[in-house]
Amino acid sequence: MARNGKRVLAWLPPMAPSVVLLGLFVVGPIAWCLYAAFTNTALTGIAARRPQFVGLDNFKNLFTSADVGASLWLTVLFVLGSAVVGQNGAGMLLAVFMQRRSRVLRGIVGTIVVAAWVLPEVVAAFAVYAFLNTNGTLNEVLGALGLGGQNWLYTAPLFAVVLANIWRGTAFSMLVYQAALSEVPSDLTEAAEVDGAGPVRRFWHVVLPVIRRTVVTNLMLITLQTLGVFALIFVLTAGGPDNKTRTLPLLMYEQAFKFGQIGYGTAIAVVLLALGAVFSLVYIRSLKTEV
Amino acid sequence: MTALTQVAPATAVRRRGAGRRQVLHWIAVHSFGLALGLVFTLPIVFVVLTAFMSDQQALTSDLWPRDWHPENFLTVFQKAPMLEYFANSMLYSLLATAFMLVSSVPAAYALSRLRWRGSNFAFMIVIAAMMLPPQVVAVPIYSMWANLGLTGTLWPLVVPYLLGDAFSIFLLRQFFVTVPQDYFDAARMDGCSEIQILYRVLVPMTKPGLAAAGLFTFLYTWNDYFGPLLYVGEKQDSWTLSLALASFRGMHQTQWNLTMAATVLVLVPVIVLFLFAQKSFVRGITFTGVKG
Repeated sequence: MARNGKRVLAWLPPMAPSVVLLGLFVVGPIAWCLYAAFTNTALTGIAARRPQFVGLDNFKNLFTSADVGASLWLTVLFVLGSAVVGQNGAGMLLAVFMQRRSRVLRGIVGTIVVAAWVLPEVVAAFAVYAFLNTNGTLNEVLGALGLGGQNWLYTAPLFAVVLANIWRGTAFSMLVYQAALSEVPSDLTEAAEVDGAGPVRRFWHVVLPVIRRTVVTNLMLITLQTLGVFALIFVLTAGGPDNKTRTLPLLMYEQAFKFGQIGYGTAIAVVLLALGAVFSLVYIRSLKTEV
Repeated sequence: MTALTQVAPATAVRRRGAGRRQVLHWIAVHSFGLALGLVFTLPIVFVVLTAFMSDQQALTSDLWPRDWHPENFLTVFQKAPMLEYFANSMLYSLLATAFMLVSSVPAAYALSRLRWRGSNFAFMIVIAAMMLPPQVVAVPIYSMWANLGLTGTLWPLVVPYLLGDAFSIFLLRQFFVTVPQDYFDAARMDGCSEIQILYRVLVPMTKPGLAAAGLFTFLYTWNDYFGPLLYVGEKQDSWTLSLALASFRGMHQTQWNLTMAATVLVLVPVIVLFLFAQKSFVRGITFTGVKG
């Protein structure tokens, strides 16, 4: 196939920048990460110029340090709470709710939900701060209902950042599910209705199996996106109080860039990478098994 | 794609008689929708209202400004060089978007239309790169720019886009594969070169895709905080708006009204852009999620 060969040659130039990109900004750094995680590289000082190979020391420190364990656990909770349950569940609920509504209602609710999604994370963090702090809107509303308020950012910081991320990110899942639901053949649901299945059973046994692939894809996307959430937490709580919201990206930023412990910080990045890989594997497996 | 505007007809059968129940149902549905809308807008409304308060009142739990202080928005410009930050943000976002379009369109075409050895593998890498949390590779990329002596400038933020952006390549590819093969065959018959096919046939047919990719890149860079924090965090001349905004709280701890006024100023361009281009956003997200 000489013709095919010629075509490939014609295509090398347009692909070249992307190959450079992938090498320079993706493959190279990951390889570098995997290497640096085993050194005592630092941002400044002797270790910056002549980093030494320290074997598994960083990882030994990592797994014996209470910090990293706590941070890893927080990150898992943050992802499960705000992405897997929160954004995913709320997005699905909204999509189902909007499915048979008037154009006007769908337009208004849809616009509002998506508007939260386009906000800068810093703005979203401020807005949620204004909503949840001692003098915030939530306490005002609770007070009007005769309930006592509290400083939510201190008493329930993880809840606050989870709520913030749900509020900001639900739009994505909602739009994805709206599109998926509209492609479910209506004769399927109608047939189930004729057979006497209620709305919940119709959804669980008819609709959900049809859109299963979309659900898994969406879960994967929002999970990996949530693993990388930084500014929202950094601005809202800065990881505090008492490190109760210091997820892995914040811990890594702190160690590598604030304390200059590049090697150690990179080891944390590797943990973050591994966590993403574990989530992805679970999702991919769930697609392969059953049905 | 048009599916978003479909309405399932299943309820029509049940809609006979029972006028009162129908009204109640309508009220229930709309108040639920209204409540949802409120929950999602409440934080923003509070931000806007606080922006109009006096600095004393901003510290109280009042919801409504006692007297309105629109001059807060002018004070913000006196307290910080907002126009400079605005210019930096614009420069970052516009350059990144332009660079992305130049580099990612051909790459996406090659991935969507050309079967070459390793094309599937290349696509997998693009997806993996797209999903990588930015913090994972932040350290090595940072040290690279530091070695080049370019930290403290906007270059580390925009140059990567000149080489392509994984998410944009993925999104554009999703649009490109929807174009029927016949168009390409016909163009080839007419003697078009691959570059001509790309820019004369494919690009005009997938303008919504280009718009979506451009919008996402613009928005992502406009909202980006982590990147500017790493590279220009120490150099105030090069601050972007989101960076400036985050530090506004620290500098003017007690002046929540000004912080919120600055927030509104950052917010407005994004909301305006969004309202004008809502369709592109929705289409872009749909293409990312469903066909993924």
